[in-house]
Amino acid sequence: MTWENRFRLFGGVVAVIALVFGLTLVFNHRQNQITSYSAQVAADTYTVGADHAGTVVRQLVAEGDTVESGQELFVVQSLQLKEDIANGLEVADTEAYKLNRASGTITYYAVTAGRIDKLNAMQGNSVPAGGALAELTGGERYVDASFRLVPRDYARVETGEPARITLPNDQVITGTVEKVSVTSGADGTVSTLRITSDALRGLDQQTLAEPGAPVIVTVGLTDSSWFAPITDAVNDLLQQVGLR
Amino acid sequence: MPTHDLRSVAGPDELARRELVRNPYSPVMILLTLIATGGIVAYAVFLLNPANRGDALPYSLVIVAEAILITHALLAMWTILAGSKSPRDHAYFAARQVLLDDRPEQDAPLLLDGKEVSVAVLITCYGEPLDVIRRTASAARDVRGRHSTWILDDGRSDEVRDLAAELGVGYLRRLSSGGAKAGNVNHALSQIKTDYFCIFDADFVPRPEFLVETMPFFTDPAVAFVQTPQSYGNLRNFVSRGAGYMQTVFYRFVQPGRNHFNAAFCVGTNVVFRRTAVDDVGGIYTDSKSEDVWTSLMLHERGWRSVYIPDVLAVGDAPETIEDYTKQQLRWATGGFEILFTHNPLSPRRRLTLDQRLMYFVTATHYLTGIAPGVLLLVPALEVFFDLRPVTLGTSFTTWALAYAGFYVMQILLASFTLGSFRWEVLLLSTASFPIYHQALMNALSGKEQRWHVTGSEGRRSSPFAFIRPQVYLFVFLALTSAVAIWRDLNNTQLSLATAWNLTNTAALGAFLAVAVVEHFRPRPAGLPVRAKERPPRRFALLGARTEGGLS
Repeated sequence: MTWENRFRLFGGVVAVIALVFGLTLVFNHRQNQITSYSAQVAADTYTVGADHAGTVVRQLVAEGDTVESGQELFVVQSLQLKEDIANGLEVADTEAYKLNRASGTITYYAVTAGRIDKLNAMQGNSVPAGGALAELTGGERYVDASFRLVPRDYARVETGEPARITLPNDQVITGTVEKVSVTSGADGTVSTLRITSDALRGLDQQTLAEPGAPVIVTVGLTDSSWFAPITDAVNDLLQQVGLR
Repeated sequence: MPTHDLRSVAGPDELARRELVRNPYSPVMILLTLIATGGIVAYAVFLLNPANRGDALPYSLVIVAEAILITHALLAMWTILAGSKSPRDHAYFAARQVLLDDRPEQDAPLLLDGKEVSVAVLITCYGEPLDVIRRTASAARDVRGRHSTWILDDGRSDEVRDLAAELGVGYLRRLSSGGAKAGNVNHALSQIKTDYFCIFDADFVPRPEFLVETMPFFTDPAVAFVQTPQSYGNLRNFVSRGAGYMQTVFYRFVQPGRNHFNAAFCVGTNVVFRRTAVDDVGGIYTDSKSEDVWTSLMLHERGWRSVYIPDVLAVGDAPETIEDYTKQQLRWATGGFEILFTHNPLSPRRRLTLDQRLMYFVTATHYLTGIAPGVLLLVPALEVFFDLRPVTLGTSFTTWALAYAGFYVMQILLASFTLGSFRWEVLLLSTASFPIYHQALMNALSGKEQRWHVTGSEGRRSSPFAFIRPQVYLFVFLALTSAVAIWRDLNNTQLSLATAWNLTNTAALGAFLAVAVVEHFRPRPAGLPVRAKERPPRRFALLGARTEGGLS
């Protein structure tokens, strides 16, 4: 065997070892993060409910309107309520509505900032007690992400851990794990993580952060294996030379 | 020695009798072939079922590799089943009856259609050991039937010249060395004008009945050559057994089958040609290292008929070292790919029958089946490092195992049945051979000739590791990947199929490297010349010798 061949053989083996080392870094990185198989933007929805039967005398919002918290939505005239008050019934105001005891009208307010998604009653309609005047989608957005986790990974998920959310336009924003819940169903055990993110607020509410918009969530897990210091060293190096 | 005290019988002994009675197309073989065909179809259906499809990258790798393997396996079995009829017809036996005119002497004239025909036996030499040439030349001289014997010495050795004089055979040496073996034979043909000529490589010792068995076929004026198998007498180490048995299915079943497609091709030695046929195509083809297949192709394009008989009429040597094996396989594979790229048999410009087109296309693409295992070896690593699986996780292990066994286990069973036993050497050697075929593909594409970096000092054999660097790299890769795979499985508390495959592949390649290590440290046998024998073309075909690649 010539020296040239010995060098080639040696160089090739070193290159293969380097390759496997690089691949192992990739592998370990993936082992220490979990990626959702299904995730979407979600928001709380509220129903503006009529506590007292009556007639909508003023409708102050239209479907699709954006409203501030505390904004007036409807004024409902209730003869029944007027009569009850006249008869000495004590009725208190709530966060959602205020009464005009003299005229027997009830003014309904938005309890949260958001958008009127559906209008159930128009000006002039009568509403029964307990009926819905409108559906209000809250302005606060979060992400619900589903994962299939092996027990070892499930144990490593903690609230307060940072998460990365990849939006439909490939924009990546960061968030925090808020809540972890787990359900067992026909397709195995599914862990659901609620991710909150301040960055969601700044987004276009109509498209990217629309409830139901599909996203991908990856959550980093703490690497406690013997390989962690090596990964850290490589990451530090990459950072130092400006590649990361 | 018989172990009984029964009276001995005159005539053939038990072994010879069994050989006479042996039926290569036994009903069990045909049944196995049919079951294997069913297994192949089931496996193909399993792979193509969208419900089983996994991630795109490994899935497409597996589909491409398995498509090549499956197509060739099906074509091979078709060829085998097509070949159950002997090429010896009534005219052959009639001609054979009068070939020697009942004259018992060794050099009785050979009579075809009542006329004496002249035959030359040519032995091509290129630096082989003297005793090897002596063995072959004296056996060639003693073949029954009147003929002349010639040593065509491209090694230009005076010792060989003296040997020829001593044995009383002709000796030819040429000034140039162009065209390698084909050039050597063509040079001889310019000096020796006989009606027929035989070619033997220097290490292939013909049996006395060689001409008696082959010449009667030429009573058919369309027959251009009669080819007999290569048989090996040196199956004494791992490489020679692997390389030798690798050819068995080809010589026992594939070539006889190709007879019926009129596409049995010449394998460079143990063959007798009709001189006028070779002249008709301008001599032995010189533009390829695989002059044998190319010459056959040219003859078939000119409408000639070829005959192959599966009777062993000459015994030679299979390569015994990794170096010889690598060079041999590289030469054959390059020749096959050359046909594919420069002379595609499916092109409408070729004047071939559809039967011949298909068979030569099989020849031209055969060595892709040697590259496929290399692709499959990488599939488990994709799962280990990237979680990319060729088959979806939803597929149950049993379903997968059944489909997989339907193809691979049946192929191995069939091959084992035809070889008489399971030859693990073939399986290991073919697993480790894919870099050779890949190299051949690259060489054929670029039109370059292979150069080896093996200018070791004179008199010392070069180490096998000079030829198997890719195998060493892959072994290191697989071994390290196995370690990562085990770590991964421990983390996930679940054994994965990828790990099992990867360990199997590592072990297979490791065994091959162990052979190389032994070969590296083995002292060079005394008496072998420095210049190893180059360029004796043999030919392919392994049917069941497949790699355990990796579906997971």
